[in-house]
Amino acid sequence: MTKQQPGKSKKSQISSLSFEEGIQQLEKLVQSVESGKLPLEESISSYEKGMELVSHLRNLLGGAEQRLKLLKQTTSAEEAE
Amino acid sequence: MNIFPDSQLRLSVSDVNRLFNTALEAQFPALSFAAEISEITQAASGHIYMTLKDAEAQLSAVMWRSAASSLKFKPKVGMSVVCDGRPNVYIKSGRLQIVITRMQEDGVGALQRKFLELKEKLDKEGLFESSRKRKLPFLPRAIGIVTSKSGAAISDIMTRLSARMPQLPVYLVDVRVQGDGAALQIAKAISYFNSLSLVDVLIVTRGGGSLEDLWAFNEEVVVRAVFSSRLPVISAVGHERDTTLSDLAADVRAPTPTAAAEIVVPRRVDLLGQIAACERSLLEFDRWLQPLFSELDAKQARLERQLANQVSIKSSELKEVAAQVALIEPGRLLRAHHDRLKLAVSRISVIAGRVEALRSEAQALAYRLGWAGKQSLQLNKSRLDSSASVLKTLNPLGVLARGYSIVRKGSEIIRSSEALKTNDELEVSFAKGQAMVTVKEKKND
Repeated sequence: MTKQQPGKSKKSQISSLSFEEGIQQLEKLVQSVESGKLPLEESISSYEKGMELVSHLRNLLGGAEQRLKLLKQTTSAEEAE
Repeated sequence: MNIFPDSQLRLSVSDVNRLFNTALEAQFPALSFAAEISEITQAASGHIYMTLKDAEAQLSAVMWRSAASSLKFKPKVGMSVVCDGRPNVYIKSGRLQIVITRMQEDGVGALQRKFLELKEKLDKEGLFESSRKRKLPFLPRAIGIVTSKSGAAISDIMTRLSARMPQLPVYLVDVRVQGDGAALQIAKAISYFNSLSLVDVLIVTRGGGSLEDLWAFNEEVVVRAVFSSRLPVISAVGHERDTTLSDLAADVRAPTPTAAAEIVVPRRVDLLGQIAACERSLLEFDRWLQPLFSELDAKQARLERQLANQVSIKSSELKEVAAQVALIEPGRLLRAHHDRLKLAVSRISVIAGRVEALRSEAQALAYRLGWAGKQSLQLNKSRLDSSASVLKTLNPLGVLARGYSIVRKGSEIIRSSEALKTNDELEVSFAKGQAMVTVKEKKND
């Protein structure tokens, strides 16, 4: 387990995680919390970080409905349809 | 049979062969057929001698120098060809052969040969190495597609993607997928996507078709573009049975466009389910924590009471000493009392310091346990660390929760039955609640 200082899981760190990294971290946290082997303090910070991850991951899966954008091969991407 | 019944003339072998030739040429003035070259030699004279075959049969063939010189390609063993010629019995050997006047490469055969040649070449260069295949991103932020905007492939992919991951942005570069210029357009589109930071993965695709239709995806320029792509590439060209060189160079080959859509993203509902399961576990942990906090609140209150008691005991001791000091003649016992007083004062200040420290800890704990102000919680981190260790040592709940109980007589915790007498009143604390019990009989093991 990474020796992360409890309470120091910055919001900005979590929000830059990819889905895969996020879900892996979350599952690890849940496992360690469920194992009951963590000191209480770490369990609590794991819980807090876990809940932040949950909302970050839900955000990643949210968003607008899919739209197909047609790209013209120019210097910049533009929406043509 | 004698075709000259009235004649006395006897035919020679040469005559027979010539007769055959006359008959064959009359019957088959021109033959056109497809064949595969199974053996070939070009004589110094320029004539080409070949054995032509198909799956079941073979034929000898010769192409005289005059005809051979107008060939537009170099015939080789294994080539599929279309031949024009006529049958001929070689007088000297009596062997039937075909004199070929014209020979062309068979279209499909030629493509297959080009395919195999290029495949061999690129394979040697390492373009198809499985060791260079990259893992696709688990969940791309956006997908780039290179195909025709009016083809079946894009609609198949969009249908499947909207079912699996409806919020995912998809970018399309519209290209010709067959015919003149298709290969170059496809290659350019691949490098175009690589020049932008728009998508995390590419799908290069088209629907099914003949070998000729799919040919652009076997062109070297496309295969090299797929190979050099910084973005991982899924190739989905034609149907399951069609394998193009782009498929071989891509990181992942999907048998169909629909399959590509399934490979490129997981199902959104599955991921949401996974997240929800984690969330449930965390909430369960939180519920488990709540009684622990109540227990800690109680401990804290007891701690505070005990400290207050000690302080009042010590301060009355101090008052007593002070009173004695006042009663006794100050001059005589002053030095001795002075020392005692100093000792007492320092003990008191130690105790007062402890009280203060514990009070701060208690406050921090109260703050912490009340879930109030997570921000200041972090500021008080070091205090929390120490309270966490206090908490760890004080917390018997974990033990109790596993089925152990604490037995007290009055305020004393009982560790041995030797401390008990029959009819003693005892208090038993469980993880939840207490019971008052009476000792009926005791055994000292």
